[in-house]
Amino acid sequence: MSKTAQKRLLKELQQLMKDSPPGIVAGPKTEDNIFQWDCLVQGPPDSPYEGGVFNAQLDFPKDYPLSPPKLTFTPSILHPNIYPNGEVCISILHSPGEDPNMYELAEERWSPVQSVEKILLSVMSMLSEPNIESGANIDACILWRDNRKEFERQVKLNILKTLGF
Amino acid sequence: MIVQSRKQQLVIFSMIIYLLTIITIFTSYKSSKTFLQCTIKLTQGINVLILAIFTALNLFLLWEFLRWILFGELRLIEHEHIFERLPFTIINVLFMISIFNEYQFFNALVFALILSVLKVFHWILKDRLESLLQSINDATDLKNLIFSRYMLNLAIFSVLDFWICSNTYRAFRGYDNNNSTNNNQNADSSNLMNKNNLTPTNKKALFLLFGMEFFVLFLDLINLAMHTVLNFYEFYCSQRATAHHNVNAGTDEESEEEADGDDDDANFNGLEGKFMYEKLIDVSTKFFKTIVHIFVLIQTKLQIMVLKDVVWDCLTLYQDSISLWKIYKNNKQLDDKLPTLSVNDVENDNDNICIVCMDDLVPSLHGKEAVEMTQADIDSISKSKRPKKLPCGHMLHLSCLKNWMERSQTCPICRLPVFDENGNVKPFLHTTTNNNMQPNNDADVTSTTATNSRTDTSTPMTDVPTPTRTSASALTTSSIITQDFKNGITPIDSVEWYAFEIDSISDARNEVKFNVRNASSNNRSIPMKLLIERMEETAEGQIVIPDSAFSRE
Repeated sequence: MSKTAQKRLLKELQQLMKDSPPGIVAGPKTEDNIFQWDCLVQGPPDSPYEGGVFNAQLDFPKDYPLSPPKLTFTPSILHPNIYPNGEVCISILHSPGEDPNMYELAEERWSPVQSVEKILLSVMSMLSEPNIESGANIDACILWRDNRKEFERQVKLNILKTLGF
Repeated sequence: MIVQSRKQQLVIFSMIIYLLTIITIFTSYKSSKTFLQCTIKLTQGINVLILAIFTALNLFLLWEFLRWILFGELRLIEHEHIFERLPFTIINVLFMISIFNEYQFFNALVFALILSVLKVFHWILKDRLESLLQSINDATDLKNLIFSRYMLNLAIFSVLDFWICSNTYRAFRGYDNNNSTNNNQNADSSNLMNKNNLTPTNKKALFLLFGMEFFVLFLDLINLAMHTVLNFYEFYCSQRATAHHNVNAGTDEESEEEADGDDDDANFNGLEGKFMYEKLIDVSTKFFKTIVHIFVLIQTKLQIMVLKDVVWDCLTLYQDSISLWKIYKNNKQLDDKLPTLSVNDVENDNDNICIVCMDDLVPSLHGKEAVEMTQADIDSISKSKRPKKLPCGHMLHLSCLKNWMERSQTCPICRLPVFDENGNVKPFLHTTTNNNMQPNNDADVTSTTATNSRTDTSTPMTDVPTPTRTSASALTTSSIITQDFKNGITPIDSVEWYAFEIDSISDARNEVKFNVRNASSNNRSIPMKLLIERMEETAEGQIVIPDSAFSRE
């Protein structure tokens, strides 16, 4: 429908294919729908997620890049900022108008300067440094804060499970 | 797997319940002589529980069946939306039921059930519009859209909603007329009448409250229908644009120039101001909702439950209309008040990108690259693709900017507001002296937004031969650093302007390293202390660094 969104997504795809940052792979799920991407994000080193490869799905709105896409990890992973259903909660994926948590600065929210690459990079940094002040998964928040060892154990267990061990 | 096992569980569960019900009815029938005795037995002890579960199960099955008929399988997001909103709705509905006495309770319950189910269906319908629009690809036709399941559902629900609304209204009016003949029977004096279980006032309130809810639902549906029409119209426009383009491309080479001119038709990027229309639809829907609520408020003599709605409505309505009006006003003057970018703004390829569409900011016209264009060329670019410059120095296409401004009144890159309170364009950033040149300004150094600053726009071009922007945002957001200051003070006319990219700022040695692009020597570095010392302020208030400053002493 919207040609701008399609063109921009194609451009981003080209750029990602030309030189993608390490630890990130992304591309449309099927050829005939460019508004749905599959991504693979590597767990950042020196974090509990090290060694894991996580599958995520990006759903772009039809007025992309004016509205942010939605990022969902499939399957979901244990993380303070990821909802139990896999949806990622970071400020740059919230549209500038709405403020669901009432404390984010406008500067931290979505703007067309962001791109798939930047989103995924932010997600990687989110994996290594969770922000428990705006937790999406309260259980994970508590675990992360009070019992880091158990948190890391569960994350590692999940990684092994997803890798098929 | 889970879905499969859930389904099996449901089937087994419903079979057990059906079996239990049949057994219960059968045994109570067998062991009783009259029908009355049988019914009494059925309403005693465990039998009630079984029958209640049986009813609930059947209602659930009916709902599933209706859902399956109307929508088919639900998508994950629809499930999520339902489970997100359902608790709130149920609590609200329970509140509504609670104001009725025990005689009306059953009626209210039925109404509430219908209302909740309808609400859920409306949510699904709304999500379906989204999915329908997302499924659009090159092969879709307007006919495919109009004759879709979604449209059928929309029609069904509009008829249904209209029917319910008109019926409840008629019922309500009927009681109203009865009331008008008998002044004693109004809501306040209904205490006496409550003993009689068919109090018209109470029933009237029932119709009134639920009628209001249904009417609000109907308004939501109209809102959705209008969104649908808008989206379809946009789709129609884009279809026509592509068809038009194809025809143009099909004709001979001669008309290529013309096709070029129609370029923005082919690159149809959404209906102009579509977001505005959407907002307008929403605001008007809200307006009508408020009217409905106020109407009910007057009828119910300031009931606190409705009052909350009305106050909330008025507040949001006011805020929304203000913001809508602001956006409308500002967008109208966007073209006039923002300067089209000048030839000198496009210096290298990195700058020649509109961040919204990631397309060339200045497309290569007539075989000319962006850098070689004259002002006339840039001015001749069709309106929607005309590159515009924001007060903060960032450049975007007019149409891209407009679309963004409908959502947020700030620059998409650095988020500086474009308009001030009174709707005037903010003053352009002038070169200012820079006071916060701290050596450990690491946060600034890593900032990705390269703020472009340039000389005062009013400066005649002859004064400054090649004013490039400095990317020295790390040092200062808006200062121009010059090099080549030969023999002390040179007249400002002959000053050359260079873009500096901060290479690194080392904390330990308090040193700033520049990347001098235009100069022959590559990287120059200067100790931070010396930089501050050797900076000079010209009469115009610009910060300059003379060439001699770079020599190491």
